[in-house]
Amino acid sequence: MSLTLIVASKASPASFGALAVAAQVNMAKPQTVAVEYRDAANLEAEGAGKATALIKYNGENYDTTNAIIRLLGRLVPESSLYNVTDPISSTLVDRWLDFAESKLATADFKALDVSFKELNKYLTLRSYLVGYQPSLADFAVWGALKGSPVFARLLKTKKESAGLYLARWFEYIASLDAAQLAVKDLQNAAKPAKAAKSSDQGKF
Amino acid sequence: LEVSGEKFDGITTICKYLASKTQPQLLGEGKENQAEVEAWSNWAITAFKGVTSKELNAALQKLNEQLTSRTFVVGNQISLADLIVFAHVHHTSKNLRVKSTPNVLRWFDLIQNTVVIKNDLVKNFAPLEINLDDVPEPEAP
Repeated sequence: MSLTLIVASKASPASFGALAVAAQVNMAKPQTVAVEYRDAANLEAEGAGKATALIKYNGENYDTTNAIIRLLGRLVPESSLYNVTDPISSTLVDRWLDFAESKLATADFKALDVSFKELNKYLTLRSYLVGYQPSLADFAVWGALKGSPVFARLLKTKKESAGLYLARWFEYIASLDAAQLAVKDLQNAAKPAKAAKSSDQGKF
Repeated sequence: LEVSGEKFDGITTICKYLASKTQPQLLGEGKENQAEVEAWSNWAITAFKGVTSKELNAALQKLNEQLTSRTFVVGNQISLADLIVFAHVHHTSKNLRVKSTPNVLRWFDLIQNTVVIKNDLVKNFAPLEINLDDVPEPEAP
């Protein structure tokens, strides 16, 4: 099985969730997903319209974060990211994927505040969104928050109003190798011109 | 614990020795974390044994504060500090309350599920039943 995840490196919000899941899948099963970047804000050139991340598999296009990560989680059960054999746990994961898509992809501060509070309360006694290890739910919600300027500002300036439980969980997920790799890769892909420039300067 | 003629005593020393032989990542990643793991392990041994209930509460408050911004006691992964502190908190786990020490309770549930239940240690560490949704509304900042 060979999969290629195509990501628009200038997209806003960036595809952190899909990239982190791809990285986690590659850790469980090396070289399963190749990641390619396109220097654009969306993937119109790939025939994917406004989509910012895309996997073409068996003649189908998977062009939303949730479609992509569900596909990866199902195709690579070794990653234990999407407990498909356990109906309760996979349903809970689905619930948080829907939450990330419908409640977090907005710039409306008031609506976001309600969602942050809901997440914060839910995480009072939980270290992960579902069960006792990272799942698609953690990476999808982390990715959505990571791409939210509202959340970034809140976390930086008034952590308490983002919610201390939410902040603790967010920083923990961000510290996982897959999340760090996603952020680093995307940064590198988004600034190739700058990086080349500074290495030039080094020569003089 | 006796290893090839040499005797080791002290809980932390024994745990450290066993960890270094089998799972060195439990000692902490990097020198700073290793020192912190050691400090918390030593703290647990004195903070929970033969103390008054006032001292016990203070110890739990200190742990609760440490776990406010951290998933595990030290660093971003499980370490010896979690295991040793857990073993000491377990005696008093029935007294953990979501109102006073929510972070300890959350961490306790994480360790009991990832360590105790997975490794079938339920006989030694009876699991504490926790309703994860029975939580108070967080106070407004």
